[in-house]
Amino acid sequence: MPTIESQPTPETTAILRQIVAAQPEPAADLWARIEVAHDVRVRWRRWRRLAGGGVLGLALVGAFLLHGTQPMTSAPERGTEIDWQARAQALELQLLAIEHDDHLPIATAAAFRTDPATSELAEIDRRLQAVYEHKSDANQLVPLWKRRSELLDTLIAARKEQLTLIRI
Amino acid sequence: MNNGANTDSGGLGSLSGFAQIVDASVLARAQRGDMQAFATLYVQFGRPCYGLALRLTGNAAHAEDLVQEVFLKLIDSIRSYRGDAPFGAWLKRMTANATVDQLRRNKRFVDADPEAMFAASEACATNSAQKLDAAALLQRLPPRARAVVVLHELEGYTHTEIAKLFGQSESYSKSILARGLQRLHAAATPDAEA
Repeated sequence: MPTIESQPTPETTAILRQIVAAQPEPAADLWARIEVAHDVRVRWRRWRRLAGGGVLGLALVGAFLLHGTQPMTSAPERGTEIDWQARAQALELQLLAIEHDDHLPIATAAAFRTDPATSELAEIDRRLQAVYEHKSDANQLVPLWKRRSELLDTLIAARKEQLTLIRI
Repeated sequence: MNNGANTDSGGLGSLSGFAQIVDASVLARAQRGDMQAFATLYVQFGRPCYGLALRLTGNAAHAEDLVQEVFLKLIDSIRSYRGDAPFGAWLKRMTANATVDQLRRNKRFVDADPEAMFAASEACATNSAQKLDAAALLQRLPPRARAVVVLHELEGYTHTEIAKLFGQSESYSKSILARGLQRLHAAATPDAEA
């Protein structure tokens, strides 16, 4: 495309000056509308966070109700009856909701490797994948899902602590 | 965000209202999430933001929506403002980016062929009253040409910055500017237009 050298003429400059000097006013209630929009957004984020917590709560209540209907067994056996997979999935949703709502930075691959909790999480994911792919003994799954839940608990606590620090 | 260019550095840009000093305590309060401080920033910069959005879009309702979008974004992101550039320049860039993003979503604006763009806008008739109104003369330009003229001539953007903003080459920006200025000149001088 040919380039045309051009400078504004005095007439054009006069128009431009008029335009920039005009300083039009927005509607008088615009700031009030912005405040309302901000409030709505804040409430929506709170609701999302509560909903995330609610999913976790329901998963926990479900797990405990299920546990309560079973006959009394020894402590190690009881541990295996909790649906660790459902609990881990609920915790993951909660973690995602926290990160999404508060625009927390997504961990880089390097950070993921260096953080003890996330690196172990990645390792557990690999092992779970291997168990599913090779159709190995299903009993191997329970301790892996249980450990995954524990790690997600740790990550959520860490994320909440980070949020608190940001808000100070 | 590119804070490097202080777009309030001179020319007509210094008249657009973004070159105001912001009280450091207001900024600090805003960075702590104090809505009263944001209200103060709005009193200072709401009008320049609206003016820029209106000049770029040519539509009052769209301009108000953009000001709302920019201030909501400001509330979310002010903690990331480190003072590398004047606050007004930072806010101006946010406003320009939001406006150009919105214009780029508009089908009319996407038309990147300058010939077609200027030919289509020929159809827009003007009457003698409009010739006296500078804002109406600006509205006669095709949306992309109007944006280039406003950003370059009024807001002090360089062709490099404009090219980056629109995803085009610098020569494209120069060409659009030249043609836009010619069109403005022709509209402002009826004898030359006839």
